[in-house]
Amino acid sequence: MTGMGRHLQANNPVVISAFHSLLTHQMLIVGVVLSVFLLGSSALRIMQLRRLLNSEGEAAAAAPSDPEPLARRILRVGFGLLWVLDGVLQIQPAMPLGLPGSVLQPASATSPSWVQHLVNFGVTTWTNHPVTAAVSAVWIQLALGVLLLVAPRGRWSRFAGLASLGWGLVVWIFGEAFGGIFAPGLSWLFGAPGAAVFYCLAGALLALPERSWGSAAIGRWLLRGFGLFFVGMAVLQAWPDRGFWRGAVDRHGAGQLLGMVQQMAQTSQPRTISSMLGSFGSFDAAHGWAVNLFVVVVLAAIGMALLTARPSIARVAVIAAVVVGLADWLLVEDLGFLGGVGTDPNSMLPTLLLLAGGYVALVRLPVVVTAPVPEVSAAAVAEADGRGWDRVRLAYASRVVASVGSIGLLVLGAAPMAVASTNPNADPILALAVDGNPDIVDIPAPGFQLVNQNGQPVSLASLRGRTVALTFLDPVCTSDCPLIAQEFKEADSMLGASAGRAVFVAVVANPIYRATAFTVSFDEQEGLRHVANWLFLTGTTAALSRIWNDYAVEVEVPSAGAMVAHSDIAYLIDARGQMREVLSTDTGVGSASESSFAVLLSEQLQRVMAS
Amino acid sequence: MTPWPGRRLGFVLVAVIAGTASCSNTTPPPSSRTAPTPALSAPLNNTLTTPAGTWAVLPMGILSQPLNTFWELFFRSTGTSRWVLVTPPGVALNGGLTVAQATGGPLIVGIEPTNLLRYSPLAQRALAGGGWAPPGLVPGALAPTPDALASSVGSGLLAVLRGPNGAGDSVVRSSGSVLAWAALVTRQGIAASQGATSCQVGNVTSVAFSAAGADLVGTECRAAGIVGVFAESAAGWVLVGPHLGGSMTSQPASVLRLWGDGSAGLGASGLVALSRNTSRSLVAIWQEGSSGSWRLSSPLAVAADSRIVASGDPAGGELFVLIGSSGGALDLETVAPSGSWQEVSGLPAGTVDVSIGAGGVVDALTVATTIFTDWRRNATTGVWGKLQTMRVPVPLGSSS
Repeated sequence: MTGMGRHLQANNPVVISAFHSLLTHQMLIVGVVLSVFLLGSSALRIMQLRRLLNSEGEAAAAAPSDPEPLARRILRVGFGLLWVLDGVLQIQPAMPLGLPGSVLQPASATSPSWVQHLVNFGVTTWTNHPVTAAVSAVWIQLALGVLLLVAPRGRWSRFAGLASLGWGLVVWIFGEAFGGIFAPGLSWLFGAPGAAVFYCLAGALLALPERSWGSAAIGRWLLRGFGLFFVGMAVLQAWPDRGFWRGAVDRHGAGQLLGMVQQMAQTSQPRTISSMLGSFGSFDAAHGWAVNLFVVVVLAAIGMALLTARPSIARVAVIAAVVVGLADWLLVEDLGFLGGVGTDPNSMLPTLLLLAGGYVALVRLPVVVTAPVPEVSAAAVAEADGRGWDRVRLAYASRVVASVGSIGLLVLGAAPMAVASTNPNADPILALAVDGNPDIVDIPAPGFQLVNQNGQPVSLASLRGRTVALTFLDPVCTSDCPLIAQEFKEADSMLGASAGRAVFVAVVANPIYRATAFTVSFDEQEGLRHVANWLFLTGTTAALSRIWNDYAVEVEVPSAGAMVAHSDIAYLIDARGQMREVLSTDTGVGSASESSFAVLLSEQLQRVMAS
Repeated sequence: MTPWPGRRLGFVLVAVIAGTASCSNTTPPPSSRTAPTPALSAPLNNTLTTPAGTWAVLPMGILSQPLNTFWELFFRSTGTSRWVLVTPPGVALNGGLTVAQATGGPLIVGIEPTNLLRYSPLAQRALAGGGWAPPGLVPGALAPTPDALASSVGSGLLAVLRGPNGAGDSVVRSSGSVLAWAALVTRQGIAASQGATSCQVGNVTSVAFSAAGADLVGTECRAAGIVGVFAESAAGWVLVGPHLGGSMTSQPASVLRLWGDGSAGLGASGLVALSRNTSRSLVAIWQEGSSGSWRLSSPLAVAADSRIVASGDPAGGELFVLIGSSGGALDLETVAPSGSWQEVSGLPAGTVDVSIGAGGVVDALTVATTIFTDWRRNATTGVWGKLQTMRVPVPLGSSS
């Protein structure tokens, strides 16, 4: 019935099923491609082993010359694993419908309007294309992780860093609303300035030329940068009137830290963790001022120690940061990824990885190993030139294959998301989730004799030869009917050149406000007055009652003050007058489902026209 | 040993942190600017008294939620003490109702559009006890003022339509049909009319008919000392509103209410809000049926934190205003053409409308979500007694 639009819950089975189905299909394709590559690699390996048996000693020529700097490896492997974890988290069923309302919008809720406006672009894209966006996010993040893990050196590895930087920026802006740096309540304890910014930083470091890792400078600057960051966070934490010096609830409400802990404690999670959060919350409620003093002092001390960039002092600072960071990760950030729509483990792990990388870069410079160059006879070179593939090391070949595969995955994720962001029309899966699948029928459509908005008689027979989209609207309805009319109008424009073969018909669904003056006013209100293939039909009460009855449309005049309640339903009638499909037109809520129904309607109309 | 570049900075930062941690809260000095006092406006809460009986328009439901606020129409026949619910069916009534009834004519109910509806349907009822006649509409949205509709048996119907800013901007006219309307005049048209420059016309607020059946349009005047009542004549639109005298000369006036159905001998009457800086007052105006000249009441001062809750014309030229203060106190002010403002205080909590019957019997109409109660004041003791209670089927949730 009109006005009874259903909300799309995050656990909507239609959307979850579509999400998992698309993911499974793409996973199968990826699996097949990977299998082909693995078979190729295995064949290569067998041939190389045979060659090895035939010509002993040649394999020794392929010794590594200089290993990857340890600091870089820490960042590469660490963030590779984090991206893989984030990709896996994106597979959670609530992601397609839950992410915008539970993560994206709350992240920007307290930010300035320009931030909200920007974030809203991401929210709209995700809301309109939940399945595509969620699947894309899975592949992009898995691909970034795998690429970082399998490409230790060279251009692939640097490209992985660059891609990590790019996607991290997208996540930081649209997913984290700039990490809340423009919103009040910014605190290191809560993850400021956003986990993604650390992914970006790590990506930027990994994208640097390899020679950058040859001196301690990179470690020194990284630690000093973090030193400044920690000191800044300490000042912010110490700033009065921000609610951090307050613990228990008073006339100003709960303290900031207690409020966050209480909020996180409500997340669905194991009882052990929630009880730890509860205990810490109670402690903070009782000793809020002391807790904040401790945090301020520790942050300031770590910051100043890091600013020295002296190994002995920095080591203590890094250890302290690890201890405090892990405690915060558990007791305040609540591990970050719990609750069904957690997208990452929040900021502490990436922060600590960067600190560890920075410290190692400072104290453990890479050692260049010079490998002896074997003497190779001209005959061997000539022979090898004839079998170039035979000189390729298996590990290298595998990495190239994996890197190419990862980039393929990246494209698999990024391309649909890019296309989706430029498509203003929502995915019809939303309409299906709200209204269910259209019922397919093939029966003669009941005839009718009514008058159009210009007072001219119109019958179903007079529309023969064109496909009819028939619905029932109340011309003085204040909610759903104008939306449905707009969806019909949108579907008409989506038909393009085919629109001439279709006619969109609404029949008045109000026994009181049924004069043609109302249909005319409704058309003017909705911009339908000059739409050539739009008809808003009405008639006598008897004629209207007959068509409502014939098309199983319930029309009820409820208690005074309420608009007329009527079925939200549409029929597709083919050019021969056969009823072919029955659709629910319940618009649900939000603009996404509005245009998603238009997409569905135009698709179904084209299907009926083609049959 | 390498130098420690952060040492000096560290001391400074420690000092800053220690300083900020021990800082006491600072409160900004109070602003020397005073917020402007909002202008008085007339809500749609209204009673309309006719020879057949009294119509009362009031909101019910959850008044803090626009889509759960439903405007209801009640009728009490002359000579009875029972209210009957007569709200028109078939359309959402979240935005409000405007009623007009000429003596001997049908009741016309204008429906303020809400949510996605952009024009105003009209319901009409031939007789108080009869059913609803086929409805009509105006070609646009009615202005959200209680006198956006006017009806006259001889002269037809007038309606004020909203402009782009949501306030009254133009007037349309019908010869009597609730479906066929023609443009009559716009705010710009009135502003260009004879004498209008002295008024500096603002929004159009109300319509009515003079005793001679001429169309009357009430407006805001941005210039001081002039009441913006304009009449249509053979020579076009003419400013006919009275000039204010005495202390009122320096105050811009806005016509909040305008009554008059063109009945022979009965001149128009109105309620005018005056405001300047923080000073606000109300003045009642009455037009002589024969001469067209105006009589004015003394000004009634209205406190800066008070607002008009309801207003009405109990017939006989008398009119009333229900004024609520921010503290919740409700005072009823009545004034007759030859009298001064009379105050009745201590109205029941929750009063949203008032009815004044024959002999000055005062009824306070209260609402509590779905419960409508009529309280009658004992004229001798001043005590309010419950006269009628009605549970109204308010369709909560039907518009969301």
